[in-house]
Amino acid sequence: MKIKLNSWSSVALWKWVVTDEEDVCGICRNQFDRCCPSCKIPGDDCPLVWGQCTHCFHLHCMIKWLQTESSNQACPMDRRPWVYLTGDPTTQDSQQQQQEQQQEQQL
Amino acid sequence: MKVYFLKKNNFIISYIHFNFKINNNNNNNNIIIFFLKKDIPTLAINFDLEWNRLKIAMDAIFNTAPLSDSLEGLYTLCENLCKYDYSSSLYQNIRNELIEYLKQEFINISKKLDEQNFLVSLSYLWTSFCKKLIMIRSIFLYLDRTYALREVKAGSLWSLGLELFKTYVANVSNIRIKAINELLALIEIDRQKKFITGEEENKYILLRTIIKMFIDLNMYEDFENAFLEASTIFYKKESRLYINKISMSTNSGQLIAEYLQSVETYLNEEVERCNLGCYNGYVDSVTRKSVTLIVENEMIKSYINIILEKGFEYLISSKAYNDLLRLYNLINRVDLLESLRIYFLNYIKKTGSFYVLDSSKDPVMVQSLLDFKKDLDDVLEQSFNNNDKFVNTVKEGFEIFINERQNKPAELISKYIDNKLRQVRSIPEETVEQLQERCMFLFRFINGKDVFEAYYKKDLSKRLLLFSKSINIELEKSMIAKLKDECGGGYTSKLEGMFKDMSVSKDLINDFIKEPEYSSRIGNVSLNVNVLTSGFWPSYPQSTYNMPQELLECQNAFSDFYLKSHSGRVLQWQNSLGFCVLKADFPKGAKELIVSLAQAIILLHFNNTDVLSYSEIETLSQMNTKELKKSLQSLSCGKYKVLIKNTEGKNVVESDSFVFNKEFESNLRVLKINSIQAKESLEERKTTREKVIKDRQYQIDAAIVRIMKARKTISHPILLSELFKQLKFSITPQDIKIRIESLIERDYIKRDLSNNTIYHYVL
Repeated sequence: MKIKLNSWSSVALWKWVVTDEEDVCGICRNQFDRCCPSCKIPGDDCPLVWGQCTHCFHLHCMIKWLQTESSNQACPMDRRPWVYLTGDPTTQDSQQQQQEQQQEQQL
Repeated sequence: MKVYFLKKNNFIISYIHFNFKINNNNNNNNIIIFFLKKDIPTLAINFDLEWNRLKIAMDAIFNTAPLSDSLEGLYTLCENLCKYDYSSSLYQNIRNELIEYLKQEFINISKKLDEQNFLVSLSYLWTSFCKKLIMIRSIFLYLDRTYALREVKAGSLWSLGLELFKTYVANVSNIRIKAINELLALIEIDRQKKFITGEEENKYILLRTIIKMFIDLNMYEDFENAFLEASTIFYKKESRLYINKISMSTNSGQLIAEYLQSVETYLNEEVERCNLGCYNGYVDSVTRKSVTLIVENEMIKSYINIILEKGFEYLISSKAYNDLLRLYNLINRVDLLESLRIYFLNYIKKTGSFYVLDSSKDPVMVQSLLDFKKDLDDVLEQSFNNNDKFVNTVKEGFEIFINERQNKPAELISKYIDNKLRQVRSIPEETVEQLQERCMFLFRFINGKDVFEAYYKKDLSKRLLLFSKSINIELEKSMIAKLKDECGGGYTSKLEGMFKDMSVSKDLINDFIKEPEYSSRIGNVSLNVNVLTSGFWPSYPQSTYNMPQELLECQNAFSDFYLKSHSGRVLQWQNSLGFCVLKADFPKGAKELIVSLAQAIILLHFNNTDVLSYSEIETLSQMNTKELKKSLQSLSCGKYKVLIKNTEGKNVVESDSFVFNKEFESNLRVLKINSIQAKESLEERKTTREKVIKDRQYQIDAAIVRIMKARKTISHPILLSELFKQLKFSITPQDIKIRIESLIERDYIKRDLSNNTIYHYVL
């Protein structure tokens, strides 16, 4: 072995898992990559939430929506009762996708 | 009765005490006071006879001869005559005597009118007359204090004497004019400093005496007017001589400095001349203001433009701060500081533009401007008294010239700071801090602050990601704090976000190491991952490589670890950023190589073989051509030739093949080969600039919509002028036109159907 990797200082960008980069929040119509209208900078401070109905929104938008009376605690997209999804499956999906991509690259 | 006689200075003052007697026998106990009845001599006085005695005494005084009678006797005589009601005749006689005497004296002196020492004679006449008059007044003191004071308009004998003297000075054959002319001639000689050495003091005394005479005779105004007129002529002539010399000369700056010096000297001399306390002062102090005003007007005000035109730039560029201080003070006296300020401003603009506009000076622009600012600070402090107006002028000037060229100054300031912050180890901390402060001064005036932000962000990201070990985080943060102070939190929130990402990443990697489930997967590699929030950082081109298994496993292990605790996210690896440290066992000694990821991938492939052709590497790494060529070039043609290219030349072509350099040796143990990463490529600069322009488009759009929303209907020129007012960066009408077209396309606004140049807001 002539050459050995000692250390690696690497850089990664984190992004929200959304199927399409152009996908927008159903409430504020901003892209998921950007933040909700009441925030200025996208990122940790303006996270996304998923419902069991698999719909995704900005957390701030969703909270605001649920606070309105007309919401009936329902998802604004399909009117089914809104239940926050925990341990969300999309991540695993996307992880699998990523791994597949990387495997493809390797090949 | 008791009478006391007190003798003092030849004057006899008598006190008569009242004598009163108290009658004790009186039952009423009244005190009866008997007034002393003064005996008046009943002897008749022969006035003519007595006057003759006084006249003889006066003649003796006039001729400075000894007196035949005692002064005491004469005084009593006068007193007696007054008491016998001869006051008015006595007064009249004295007056006649004085007239007689003065008439004779002035006939004498008018004969000397053309003699050289006329002034001396006049001064002698005046001083002796004064002495004599005092003597006479002493003798006739009783008259002076009773009759003269009460009954005569002219008042005391002293003023009578001066009054008479004045009529002669005023009326006898131009004595007054002659005296004034002589005085002025003497003063001119004094101004030219041509008094014969040793004689100055006498001349000053003479001048002082004669001028004092004019004051005493209440004729000072005559002298003053003539004096001021002569001063005007003198200084007019003097200044014209200088200015002619200056305008002929090629070395006018130096001459201006000398000129200012002589003006100052002249002013000081005039002040001394008008200060009777000075040994060379002889003009009354009331004249000081007028005469200095003449010097100021004739020498400074009349030639202010020539002085500034020919002298200012020379003085300021040769850093003659004392001369500048003199200039400032003199101009301040004539209240023309505004002219000076304009020249100052023009100088700043001219010099600044010289540094800013010439693109060949770009590498030293910021340093030159900082030095320039320092010089100007010195000027302000040492010469301009830190006058607020001038301090603001410096700011005004900087603002004008720094914006004469778009974008470049902002970019270079950012670069300059970047350069200093990368070298924090070789520059003391305080120096860097000061430099930051000084750069902020320049930054403050830049209109396109967005350009600065873009470049600063890019430079900062490189410092954080590539030089994380050699930067001083305190200094970085102090710079951000300065920017925040200047532009508010919104301006720096992204920059601060970058620091936040860095510290979050640090915690992440510590947690990662603590979890053997993940960290065991990467073996002995010391991994560090900076997880960036995409909005904070500049965007980088995405590059995908085919990575060796060990590298890939590092990424996967970390991804798994990260996503476990951060659901709903993905990690997008930025392969063009970051760096690796490789341990290379060269036969002549092991080295540590600091390389980019692309370089590391290439080098790792040489573990299996010694020789690889370009195309083999390409297939193995799946890198794009440009990146591959650049990486290979830096490995085989740079300072440290880790690989050996089979052909000569500095460029890599597809037909080349590479051999691992077994003979490699170097004095250093750690070698940095990733410098190509740190260098800013032309392309990068272009993307930064494009990004700024794109961001500006949104700003233009927003401004247009804001205006349209408020106005509903607006004509094109008015819209333009509103926009120029609102937007802080400079834009061309063409840029705006493009944005308007795009907004019309997107149905934000529409054109008026009949008039093309009018827009309506679409509701």
